Amino acid sequence: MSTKEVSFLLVEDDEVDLMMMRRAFRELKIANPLIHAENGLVALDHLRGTNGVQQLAAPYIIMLDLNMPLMGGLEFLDVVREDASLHRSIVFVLTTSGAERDRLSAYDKHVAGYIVKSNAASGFLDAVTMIDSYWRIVELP
Amino acid sequence: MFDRASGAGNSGTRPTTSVRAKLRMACIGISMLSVLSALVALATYQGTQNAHIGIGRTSVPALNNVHRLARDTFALLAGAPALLQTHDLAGLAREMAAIRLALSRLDQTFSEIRDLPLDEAGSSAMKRISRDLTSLRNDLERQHLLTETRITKQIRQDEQRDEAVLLIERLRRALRPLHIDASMSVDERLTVIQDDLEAGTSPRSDLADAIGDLTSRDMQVAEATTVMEFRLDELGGRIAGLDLLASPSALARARGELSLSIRALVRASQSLPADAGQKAILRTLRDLVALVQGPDNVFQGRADQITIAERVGRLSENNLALARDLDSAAGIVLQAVEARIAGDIAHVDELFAWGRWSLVAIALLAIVSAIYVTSRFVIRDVADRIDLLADDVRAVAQGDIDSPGRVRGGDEIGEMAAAVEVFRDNARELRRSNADLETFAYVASHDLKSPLRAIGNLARMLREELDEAITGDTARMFDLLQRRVARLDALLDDLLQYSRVGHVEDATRDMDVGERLREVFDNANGENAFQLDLAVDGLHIEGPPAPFEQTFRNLFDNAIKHHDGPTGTISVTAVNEGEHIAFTVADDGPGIVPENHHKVFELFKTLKSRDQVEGSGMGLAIIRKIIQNAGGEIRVDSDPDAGRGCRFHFTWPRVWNQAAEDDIATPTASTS
Repeated sequence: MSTKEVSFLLVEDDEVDLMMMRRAFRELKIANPLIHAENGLVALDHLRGTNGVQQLAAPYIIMLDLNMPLMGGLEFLDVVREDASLHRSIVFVLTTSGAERDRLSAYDKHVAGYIVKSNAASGFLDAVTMIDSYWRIVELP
Repeated sequence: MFDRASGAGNSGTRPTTSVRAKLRMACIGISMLSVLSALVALATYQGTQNAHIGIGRTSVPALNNVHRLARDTFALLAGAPALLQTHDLAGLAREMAAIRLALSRLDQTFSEIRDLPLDEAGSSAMKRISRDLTSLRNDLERQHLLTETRITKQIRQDEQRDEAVLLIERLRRALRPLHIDASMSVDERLTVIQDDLEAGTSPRSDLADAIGDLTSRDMQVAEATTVMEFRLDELGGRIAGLDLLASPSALARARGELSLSIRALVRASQSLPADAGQKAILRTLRDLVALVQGPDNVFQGRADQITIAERVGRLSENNLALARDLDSAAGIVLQAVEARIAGDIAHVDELFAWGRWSLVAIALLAIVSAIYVTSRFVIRDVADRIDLLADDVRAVAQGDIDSPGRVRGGDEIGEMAAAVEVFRDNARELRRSNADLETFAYVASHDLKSPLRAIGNLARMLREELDEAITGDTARMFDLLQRRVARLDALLDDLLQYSRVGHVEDATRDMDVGERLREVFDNANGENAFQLDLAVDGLHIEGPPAPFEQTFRNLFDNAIKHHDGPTGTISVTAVNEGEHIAFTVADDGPGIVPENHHKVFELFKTLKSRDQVEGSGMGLAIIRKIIQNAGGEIRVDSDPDAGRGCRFHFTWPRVWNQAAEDDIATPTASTS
């Protein structure tokens, strides 16, 4: 079990989703820091500490939307997997796209999980519960 | 007709002449060569035949005729002496008739060879033969006439001779009594004189008178008759020997001697006593003299005969010379004819050689043409380009629509290639518009879904925030809002699904149909109210599971959703038809009236209000698209008046066609 508290980086352009996510964290009483980036480029700034952004300290788990402006999720994954310092990052895809193509592409880029945002009343609760359990049970790199 | 400038290589060949025109030209060429060879063969044959006719019908008979002409001529001349020696007119006519017959045969023979086309020597020889024959005919006719005259003269001479002999005999008979009387008278007078002398009684003068009488009368008579008899004998001998005289000189000598005899005879007849006897003798003698010395005497006749014989002889010699000349001319003609035959044979040899070489040349020409036509038209312009075009078409059929076509040209093949190019362009255009459409549908549904989901979430969050304030009507409004959001979300999901039918990224695998269907059914049958009745006999198929499962899921959903009772039974039967499996999915619901059968597969068509039965109206449209993509067809069979339930019949490939799938799937991957 990891001794250090894990940070969450939510890469998401939809404000409503961010709101939902924060509500889910609050409801589930998860105190881990939740950092928000509105697209892949901003996320990379957080990971690398560039462009005046403070670098996110490990360990962290990235929750990644696919459809975003400037740099989408799959492009972001490409950059991350090419980058020697980032390529071991744990990434969960959280997306509205149920497309098989997106799913397979994401797994090709070694994501830990592919989660489709549901319209169910529970919102992100199930997903966030799972991810919270994940970092507590799974040994991170 | 050839477009060599377009360069080497099959793909570079750009023939502009149509294949049909080329084949027609090739056919015409071959036909013309055939006709040409037939003409050469015919010409050779005709020439040979002409030469054969020349040899067989003209030259060889001509040889025979010339030989016969020479032979017949000599035969004719061999018969000519018989003509000359004939002594009676009847025999002469017979001989002459034979000679004329022979002559007409000669004419006949000659007429057959007269018009032979010969060289100069031969022609002049032929003229000589013609001239010789005419001369021969004239000579023979003249000989005939002369011989006739000779025979006439001979007969006349014979008559004259007989008459002379008769006259001589008559004279002889007339002289005999005179001679006897004179002799007897001499004897008597001598006896008287002798008696007188012995008696001496008569005077001397009387005696001398008596002797004078004796010598002047009786003795003269006796002597004259004796001389005459002698001369008559001589004359008779000469006349008798007349036929032995063969030359005019002998005849002239005989005539001289004869006239001496005649003169002596006449002189002696003067001494005869001038009485009646003497007159008769003199008359007879005159006749005789007229016969041998008068006009048309026997000597003249004989002389004429000798002259005629000489002339006939000369004519015979002439004939012989003519015959020899004719023979030599015939020899020349023979040589000419032989030369002609040799020429004909040489001509035939030439013809054969010409025909042989011509045919060899034509055969070579035909072979070269065939090779040229084959390599140039058939192989390079047609077969190679058809192969190339076939490869291109096959490539297009297999989905390679990006490689450029390799066949060009203004002929039919070029036109086909251009048409293939049009197909290729169309396919590219279709692929591009499909990709556009898909991208549009994908982006649209995603971009529509995001705000929709946000609306849903916001509504939910709002409801949670306003927890206590929400009552009655507002709660119902929030409920309706949530349900409409859900419906639109489902609609967008189905639209996305519909747009993505055929884009299968599942791996092909072996599926147990029964197992799969039970799984799909269990998911669809949420409340376990329905039963599945499977009759698929452990069937297995190969293919990606997703389209198969979706098809049945939608059918099961439909059957359950539209069922009018709380429970029901869905049955699936499958019949293996070799490459395809014929499926029937039947339910026991209310069924669909036949008027609506065609509507159920249309997009966004629902037969009930969406508030009664939640549904996008795309389930069957998606199924139909999937099945059509798989190469099958679906139809519905239902008639509520006849019985409950409806049956969906469709075929599914036993082995998924990878090519058909790639055709659509490939461009999708390239646009992502």
